[in-house]
Amino acid sequence: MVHLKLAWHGVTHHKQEYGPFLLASVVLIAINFIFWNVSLNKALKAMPFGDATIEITKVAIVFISLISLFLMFYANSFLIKQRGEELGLYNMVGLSIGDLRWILSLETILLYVVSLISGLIAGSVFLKLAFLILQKLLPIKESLDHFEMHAVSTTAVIFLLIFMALLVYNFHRVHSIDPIHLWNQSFKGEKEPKAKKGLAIIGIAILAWGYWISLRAKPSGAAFISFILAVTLVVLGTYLLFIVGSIAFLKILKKQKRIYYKPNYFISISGMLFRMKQNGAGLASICLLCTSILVTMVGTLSLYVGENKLIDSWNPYDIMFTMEKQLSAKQQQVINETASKYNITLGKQNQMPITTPSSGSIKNGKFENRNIMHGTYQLSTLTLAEYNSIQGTNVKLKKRQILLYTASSKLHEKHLFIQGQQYQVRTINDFKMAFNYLHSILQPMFVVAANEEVAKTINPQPKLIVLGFNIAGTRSNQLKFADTLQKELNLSTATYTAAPIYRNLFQSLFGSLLFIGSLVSITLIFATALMIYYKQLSEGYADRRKFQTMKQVGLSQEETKKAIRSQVSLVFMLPILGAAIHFGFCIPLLKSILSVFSMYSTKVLTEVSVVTLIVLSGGYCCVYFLTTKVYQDLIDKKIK
Amino acid sequence: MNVLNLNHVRRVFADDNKNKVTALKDISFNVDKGEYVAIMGESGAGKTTLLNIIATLDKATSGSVTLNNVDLNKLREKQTAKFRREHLGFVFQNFNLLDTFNNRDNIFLPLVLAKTEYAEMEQRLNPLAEQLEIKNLLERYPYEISGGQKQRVAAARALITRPDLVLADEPTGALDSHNTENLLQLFENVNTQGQTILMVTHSAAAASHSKRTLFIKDGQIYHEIFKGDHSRAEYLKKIMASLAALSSKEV
Repeated sequence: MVHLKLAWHGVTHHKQEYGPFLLASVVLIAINFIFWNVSLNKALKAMPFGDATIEITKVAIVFISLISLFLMFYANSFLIKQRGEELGLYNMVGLSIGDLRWILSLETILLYVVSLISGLIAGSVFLKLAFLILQKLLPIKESLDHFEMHAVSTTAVIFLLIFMALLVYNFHRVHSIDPIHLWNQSFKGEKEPKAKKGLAIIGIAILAWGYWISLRAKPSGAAFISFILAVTLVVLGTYLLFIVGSIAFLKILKKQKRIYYKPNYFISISGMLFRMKQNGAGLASICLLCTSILVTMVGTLSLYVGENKLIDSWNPYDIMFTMEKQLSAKQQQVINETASKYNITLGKQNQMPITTPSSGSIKNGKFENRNIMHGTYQLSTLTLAEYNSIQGTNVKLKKRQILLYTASSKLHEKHLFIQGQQYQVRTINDFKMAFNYLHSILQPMFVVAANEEVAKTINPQPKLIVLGFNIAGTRSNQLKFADTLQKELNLSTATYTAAPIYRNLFQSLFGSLLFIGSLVSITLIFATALMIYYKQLSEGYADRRKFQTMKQVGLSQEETKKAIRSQVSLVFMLPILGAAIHFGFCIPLLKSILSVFSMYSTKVLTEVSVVTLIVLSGGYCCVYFLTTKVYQDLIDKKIK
Repeated sequence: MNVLNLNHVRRVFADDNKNKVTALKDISFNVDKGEYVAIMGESGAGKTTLLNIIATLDKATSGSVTLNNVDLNKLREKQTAKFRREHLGFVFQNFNLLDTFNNRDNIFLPLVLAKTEYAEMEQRLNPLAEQLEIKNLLERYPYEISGGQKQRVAAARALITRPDLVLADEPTGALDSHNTENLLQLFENVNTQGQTILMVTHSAAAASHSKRTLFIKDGQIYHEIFKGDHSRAEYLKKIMASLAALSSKEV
């Protein structure tokens, strides 16, 4: 009974520490619960491409579980540090280590039960909202709202395991409690950290290398590998710079007597010098968390927002397919019959003979053939006559002149070497038959040659017929028509592209990506906020004595506030600034990866980036100001 | 000339009119320039409250406190901070040095807060460090030196502002006998050079280094002894006798 009383006392008398811990576990339980519910949802699974959504959710679940584990340990480490003293005191006045374990166990059970119940309640409430949003994002009408009992038990088990891990860890900590430490509870000074300039320079070099990879990223299959390499380098570089580089920088500042011996700098530089050793890693983590929030949100949002652009680039006409021969009369009849069956009005049919694309990349004004992994473009040629008839134009070309069309309109070459021959290039911004052969990750590139002969020299591959037409009708009929037509004409998915089908697919895919990206981002934002809070709390405890002494020596209330503000803001603006810089350098790489999804619009990416950055910074500042109050209160509290 | 003047000072702590605690009942005394005054009394006699009021960290409920002709009751919070760093020097029992600064910067702290030029700070530190024998400690950190050394660094921090009054709160409380003796000798030397000192202490031996000892009991000045022409041994004896009387008699 005494144990229970002490456990209860422990939880209720350390609200400042247990409050955020409980909040963390409640929110994490709610998020886990929502994710499990989505992954187990039957209606979602039955939906076309629902499997894809569920697979993505499962990947996210693994990620979220890891984050949960990490965050719970993080929050717990602050708890046990504070509780250690109190438990040591109990130990000193006569409670055995076994008794302390009892108290800790009871506390853990109490925390688990409270957070599980509140978490599941919160989760169920937000689940309704989550499903409502998901339904809006996906091209479906039926309600997804369904409560899975299985999600409850899975979430409960996962968090039971996490809490048990925490308890085992805390047992271990209790074991090392030594009442002697309580006797001489003097503030043990920490050595001033040494400036490791060599490591700081290595950190800068590593970061620069990561940035450089990102800046040089070419939109090709290899971009994914570059991405992983760049991320690894940036993570490493960030940690090194925050831990070592910041100390080196502060040391340099300290040597500048004119700067150092000014009241504000005097307090913050000396404080941060000691703080950075323990805090560098935490701040680097906050910085990387912010960066990943930015990348996740911008990536998924761009895909969702740019969805129509993507479909346009794949489908200049609603229905497009390639064949080796001209459309036969029988095939034409199939098209007409299917159309009338689903009340579809057919638009004008366009046919265009074109060479089968060859993959390659452009370097120094030269088109070189390369395999798909390393290529950037897939080049097809057509004759000027065909071009004029499709576009309804009357362009004239000389023998050594070509028209060039790429979806991203990034090429500005005046001359281009292709197959050992130089051509004068005129770029065009509009091409009605621009399509993506085999839905490749390579960017389509169309070269209009003066005549058949030149077209053959540029690309000797066999000819294809591309056929495209628009359709009109109700949305569901369009989808049915597109589906049936593919089956009737016996066309493979690689050669047949129908806008209604892809619109449906992309909406499911990008919609669920956005949904999951947002949920993951919320978790990350929450993780960041929690880390900031605990940082402020621990800094407040650490700085309390310092500011108290300064007050006695002659620092006014207002000056204290000012000094605190400048120190705290220096510490906390670093990560968000770092994140913004990281993200800025990440944009070229992100663009490359998005263009693998045939997303070439810089405008969409820029707009989405700017909005996301503003929203994130705003949120960050809110968290920062709210938590600074906790810090301030701690400082103001009198110590005995 | 009076440096410090307390006139019928009274301090009452009240939570909500019910739990009234009178820490100081009626305290009046003067400290002249160049004086060295010790204040003695048992725990709870009101020593700390008195010191806090003189240190501008607390305010008297009634009565007046003037330091250097400035009425401390009329200072605003912002002014008190400035006043502290310009007119007062502090030496605490637990040193209150900051581990994030090296000893030099700890000593500079009040000057930095007063936005003093670096050259000026250096100029003031040199003779002081010489006198306090801390020259070779300046680059080290407080956690790297002994208690006696820490208290000398703290004394340097108190003296570097050339204060009108040094307030010492049990400055020997955390020191061994050897270091206690050293510090008290140091205080005496500084006092001889003209520094006014007010020291709160438990120790009769410490008080015997002062020129005058005030005894406080239950928030009132109970007794006062001057050293005058007495030897230190005689002065110490008188202080001990007063202490014995203080603890046996009811006032």
